[in-house]
Amino acid sequence: MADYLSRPIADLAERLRDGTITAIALAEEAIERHAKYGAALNAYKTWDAQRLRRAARAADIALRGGGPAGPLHGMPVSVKDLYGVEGYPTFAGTPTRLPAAWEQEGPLIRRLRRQAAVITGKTHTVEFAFGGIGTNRHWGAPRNPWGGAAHRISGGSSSGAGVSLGEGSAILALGTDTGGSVRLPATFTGNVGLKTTSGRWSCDGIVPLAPTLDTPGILARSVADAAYAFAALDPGAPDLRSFMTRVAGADVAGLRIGFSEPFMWEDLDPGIGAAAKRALDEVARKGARIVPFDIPEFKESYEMHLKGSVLSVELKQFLDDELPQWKTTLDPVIQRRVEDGGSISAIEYIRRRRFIVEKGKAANARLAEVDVLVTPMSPLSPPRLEDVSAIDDYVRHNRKSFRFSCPINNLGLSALTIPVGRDAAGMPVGLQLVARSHAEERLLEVRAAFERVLGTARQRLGAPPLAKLPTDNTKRSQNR
Amino acid sequence: MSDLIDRSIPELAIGLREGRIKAEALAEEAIARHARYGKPLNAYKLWKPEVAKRMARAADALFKAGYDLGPLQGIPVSVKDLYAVKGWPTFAGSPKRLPREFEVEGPIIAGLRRQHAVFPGKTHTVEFAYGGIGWNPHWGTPRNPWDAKAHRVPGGSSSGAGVSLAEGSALVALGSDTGGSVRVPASLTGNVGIKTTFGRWSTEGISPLSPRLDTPGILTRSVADAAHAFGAIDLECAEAASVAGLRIGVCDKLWWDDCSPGIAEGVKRALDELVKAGAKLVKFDLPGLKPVYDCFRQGGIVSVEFYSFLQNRLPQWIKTLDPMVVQRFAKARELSGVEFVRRCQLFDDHAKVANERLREIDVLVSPTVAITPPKLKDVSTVEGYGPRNLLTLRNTTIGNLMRLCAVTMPVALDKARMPVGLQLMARGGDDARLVGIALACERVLGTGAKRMGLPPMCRR
Repeated sequence: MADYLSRPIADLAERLRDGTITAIALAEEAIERHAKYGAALNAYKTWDAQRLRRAARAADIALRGGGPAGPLHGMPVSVKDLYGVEGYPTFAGTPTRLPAAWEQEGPLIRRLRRQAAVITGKTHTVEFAFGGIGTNRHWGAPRNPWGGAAHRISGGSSSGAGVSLGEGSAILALGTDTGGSVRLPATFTGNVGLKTTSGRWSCDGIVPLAPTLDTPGILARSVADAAYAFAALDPGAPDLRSFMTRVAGADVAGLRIGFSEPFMWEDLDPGIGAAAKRALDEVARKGARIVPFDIPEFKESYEMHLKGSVLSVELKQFLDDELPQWKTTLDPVIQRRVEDGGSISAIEYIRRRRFIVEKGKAANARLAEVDVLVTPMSPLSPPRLEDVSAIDDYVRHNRKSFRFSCPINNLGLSALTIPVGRDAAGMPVGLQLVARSHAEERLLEVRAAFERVLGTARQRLGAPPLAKLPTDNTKRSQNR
Repeated sequence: MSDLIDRSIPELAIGLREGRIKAEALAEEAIARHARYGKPLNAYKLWKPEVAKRMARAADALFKAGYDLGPLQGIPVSVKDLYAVKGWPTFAGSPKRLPREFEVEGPIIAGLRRQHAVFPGKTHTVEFAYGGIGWNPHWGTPRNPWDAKAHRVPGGSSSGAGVSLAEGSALVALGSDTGGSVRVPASLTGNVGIKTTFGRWSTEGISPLSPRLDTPGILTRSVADAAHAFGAIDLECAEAASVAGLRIGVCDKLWWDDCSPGIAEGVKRALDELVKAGAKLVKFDLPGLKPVYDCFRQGGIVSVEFYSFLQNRLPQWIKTLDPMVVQRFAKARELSGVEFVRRCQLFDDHAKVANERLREIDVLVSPTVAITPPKLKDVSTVEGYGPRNLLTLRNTTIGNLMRLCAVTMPVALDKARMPVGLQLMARGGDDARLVGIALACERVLGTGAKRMGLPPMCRR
């Protein structure tokens, strides 16, 4: 294998333009990787090698004919199966294909298309994206490539997104994040995850979970890739070249880094706190200032999220009105939460909406005092599949998983996660960087500065032990 | 008495800048007018002649020193008692002063203060702006100056706003509009009203009724004044459009049903005049009109948003609420979150389609209010109030629910010799263009004063 796909996106884009490589070569490499690991890892709901090749050949023809259509020209990108993509069914993690209206493309997919990016397929999602663990009783849970011989969960709800990067069939993955669904799978699979501020990227053409909290996002293997993809996809995009230069030149010296105890640093699974704090120490040694920082809205919004926030109400309304038949086949865990939504009064719902707006304002004001706030991305080490198969175990782990991620959605902030080490179980640990609303550019710069001190994910964590995966046939039966 | 205050704002603005007119003289006239007409009309909750004079003198001093800080410098602007004004209590139509956080000024007041407009006082409002009639049992209902014999209602919820213009104590009146609360009082008192597109002007510093629908707005005596004031608050300026070739959409459903004698006729006569000047009438069905109105009739979202606000922020104010208001809460308490989200979704979905369809025409028209302003005695019972309140708001509330912008302008007197308003509506965000169209219409039709004369209770 030529192993082109391990390179940074910017590097690949350049080689594509100078003719050193072709889109079809990249596509064949993606197909080869998927053939090798796909059955064991189960990242994709829909994988269509023929369609992928067709798109890659078209990208090559377009490149020779008219030059590059955009920064992601010819780049293999996986898409969460919540996005409408023409030619692909949308299941949204349910057992039944959704009506054709949900296959219509929204602005984000159209941006990918206009740039002649190559869609590799549609990755698995938790049913209607309602859960942070990544399990799916209809289609199986994708396997975390870091678990080796054990089937550990990959995080959700964009459960196949990080795995598609891990197996190497895609170099960028589109996900969605309502309470952590981009950042949790990113951290659990050792990737970078960026959740955009609510309203920054349109959710049209994406099956909703809770429209007032839903946000699209991206998973990538490195900070540089994430910054590149962000600039390529953002409608108010900064100029790509100058943005990449700025990101590359960012420095940690003088950064004010908010550090908030105890809520964000207690009840962590073994090794998570140590790995995260080690990374912080390294950054501090290079001149960043760690500042004690108080942000009570974090805990308050987690507590509201545990009560269902606005999710269960908004999802119930959507299912009642748009997809009533899909309610009969819901995973019981999700069904229970949807039915909970039916018992919430309008007054309580409005109270929660107001809480979100007011606490969000307060949190935004506080965050003006620091450059970023840091937290561990998840207090949970990705559990083994069998440890979450009983409903009670699932609920307990799920509630723990989104403790530090859901406040970001409920407070309307921007956040991203960066892999910084491994926990006691050898699984990746992510550090979450939080900033005010619409601070994505700044966050990417700060994160790049972090990466210059800490090294890239690959340097710090090594490569996922794909060689330890079980062989194809045994795993396929287990997954279904 | 001289008649500075009867001149148009653009004219006064020039005079002030050329030094021929003093803001203080203008303020004194406003004060004199209030002394002469104010008592029976009861427009103000809080009347502050000394403050107004002080502000006017400051405006004059600035003019004299060469400072022109904005189009409304030196112009008297009355403020609905829902807006926070530093140092003045906010009652929001309730019997008790609200907590101090409701006295923190928002961007509209702060902006007007920066350009040294003159605030003579705070005008009455329906309790927490919840109602279109203008009724207020705690502080009395301001009187509509167009009927010297009977106490007719002035429209609400900005119930004192239109009256303050009629008596001549202000040249601009700030109001807020959740279902018609700017346009209804403007129409019933023979004035112009602008309801801005939702989200265009900040509602910060204004006591909320239904945060998903609340919009600030202004009332003035003429469209020329309205355009001037609009430009002082908005980032855009309104330029007069042309009536020739103007595509005026007329929807023959709902808006024209059950009109009191003379209202539909008065509006149609004005439309005929516009046609003679070159406008084209186009039959236009606003998509979603029926489902949106039906949902409104079932209770919509205002009562539940309002109740939720009171429960969370002002629980002490619930027990003193007007019984007319309280009776509408029973249903709100029982409403489920899912049903609330469904209603919001329904409004948003139809609003999207309607706004798209409105590209086919320049402006959509209707009577602003279907009925003649009721006599106070006819609305002082729950049975009398309910249906009249609904009918008063019917034609305006669609604009809020559909996310449109709208203007009302006075065009006629009805059979009861009460003012009739023509409502102009346009796509959300087209506020400046809409005001420009209204300006062109006014040039053809003439101002309210020209068409209808002065209100009998304010004759000079």
